[in-house]
Amino acid sequence: MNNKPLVMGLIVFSLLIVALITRDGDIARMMLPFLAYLGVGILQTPRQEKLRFGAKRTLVQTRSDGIVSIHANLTVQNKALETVHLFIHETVQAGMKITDGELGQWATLRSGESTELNYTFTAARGDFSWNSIRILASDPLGLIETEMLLPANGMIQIRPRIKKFKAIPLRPHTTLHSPGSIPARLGGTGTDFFGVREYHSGDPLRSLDWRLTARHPRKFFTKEFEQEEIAEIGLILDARESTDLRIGEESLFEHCVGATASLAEMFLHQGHRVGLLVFGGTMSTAFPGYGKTQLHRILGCLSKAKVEKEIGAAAYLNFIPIRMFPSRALIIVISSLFSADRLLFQRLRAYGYQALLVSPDPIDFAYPTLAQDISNRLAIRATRVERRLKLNNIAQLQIPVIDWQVSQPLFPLVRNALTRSRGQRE
Amino acid sequence: MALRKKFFAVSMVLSAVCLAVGFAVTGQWFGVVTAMITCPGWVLARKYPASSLPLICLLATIALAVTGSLTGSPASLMIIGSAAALAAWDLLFLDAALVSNSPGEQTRQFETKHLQSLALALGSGLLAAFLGSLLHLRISFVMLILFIALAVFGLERVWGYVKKMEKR
Repeated sequence: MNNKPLVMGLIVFSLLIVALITRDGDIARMMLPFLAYLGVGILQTPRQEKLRFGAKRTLVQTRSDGIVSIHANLTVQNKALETVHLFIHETVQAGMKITDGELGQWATLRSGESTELNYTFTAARGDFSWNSIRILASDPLGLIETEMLLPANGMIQIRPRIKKFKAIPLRPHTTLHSPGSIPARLGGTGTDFFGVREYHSGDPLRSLDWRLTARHPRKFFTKEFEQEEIAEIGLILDARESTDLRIGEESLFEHCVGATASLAEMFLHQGHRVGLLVFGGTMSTAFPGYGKTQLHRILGCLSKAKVEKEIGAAAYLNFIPIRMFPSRALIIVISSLFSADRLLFQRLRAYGYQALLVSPDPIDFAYPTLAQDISNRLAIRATRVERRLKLNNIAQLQIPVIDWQVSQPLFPLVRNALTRSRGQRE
Repeated sequence: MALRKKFFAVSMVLSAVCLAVGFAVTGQWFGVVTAMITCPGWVLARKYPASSLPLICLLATIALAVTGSLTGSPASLMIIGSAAALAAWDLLFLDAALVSNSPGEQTRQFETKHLQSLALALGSGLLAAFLGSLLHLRISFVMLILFIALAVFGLERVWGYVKKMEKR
């Protein structure tokens, strides 16, 4: 609220009281410029019913050197017949970093004139939307302000940055019966030789094994090839506040989001079916799907993901609805873990899921910021032991565990873990 | 240098000079020194417009003008001094508001319109004050009480109107 009228009113009133007490006409006259100031302000205040504005918001996203910047343009047009003095004010949302321009502007608009407010912001990731533009219409002296919200919608999504991973040859427990790239250990159409069986009516003649047929008179044999199918993959991203660690502007969660986006892109690029579950104070999901549309869906979900304080059941990873992923799917959990989270992995194994844990190391993440004194060194050592025990507990369930130091590339670790998991199965 | 900055400097100096001259005429040297001290006060207030310094400077100047008027300094100088302080206070906020505005036609238009309104307010106020000095009315005590009641009622109505406009 503008306190100018209050100040003027108090000054006028005080001068009047002093003038009356002292019965001094000069002090009463001293009051007149202040009274005139207040009067001019009130008389020039535009009437709200006569105020009419048009507003438009334009958002343009550009990306250079991997940094996304959004240029916002707000246009306000005076559609009233009178000249108006106004202040345009833009609301900053969490995660926005203004790099250029200003978020407020005063302007005097004659009838039909318009003004623009331009600014540029960057953000690592996020979903930004606006419904209106806030303006304050006032008299030229700025004494009495009328606040108005002009409808002007705008929405922009900044998706997490993807690090392109090379394709990893997966060998999941089960495959989906759709043509893909994973040898399914089933005879059918494919490229690799799988075996020979007796001819069934309807088999194409080109698949007959003529040599074997020649050796066995009155019998025909058909060559079979190994079917190549796709995998069912579920990604679970832990967005609980207690598992996040923020140092300055860097956050462990942002690394997890980046890793999830990169994994989703890699698996979808290989043709697999991928679903996502973000588990925090609230849950958001991208149900399993294929292709570019699914990648957009997952990236959209990840761009909205934020660390939230967990309440009640949300504190336990064990309570996530894992049944949204088809049984025996490959579940990749990206979490820096709690002690109680082992139950989730027990449950995954019990339901027959194939699981993989990618656990960013919070100790390594925080290490550079910690003082290197004896007590800290001991504390770090004890925490490392505790974490190692926690991860070993999960590894005992025959679940590959990636202890990821976020400063290191994730791809070789995932590749090794997924290749090893095939060995475990065999 | 923007017009508002020039006017601010002029108003600030005018306010201090009027008060100082007014005090000097009656030989109140402490008042002269105090009036001159308001100048650096205003400069400091311009640097920190979001603080209470601008209000303190305005109230201090008015208090000085009232004191001078009561102690026999020329009333016209005191009135001009307080009106110039009002102008300095207003221009200080105008400058702070336009700092983030990109220089252009609309900013210039806004500034001009503001300065015109300020000139109108101060001009009419000072004119009324000087015309008032020509009038010599003798008011009875009862009429005085009635005028007080009317003034309080008027102020209350003005305040009510201001609040109503803000609520809209």
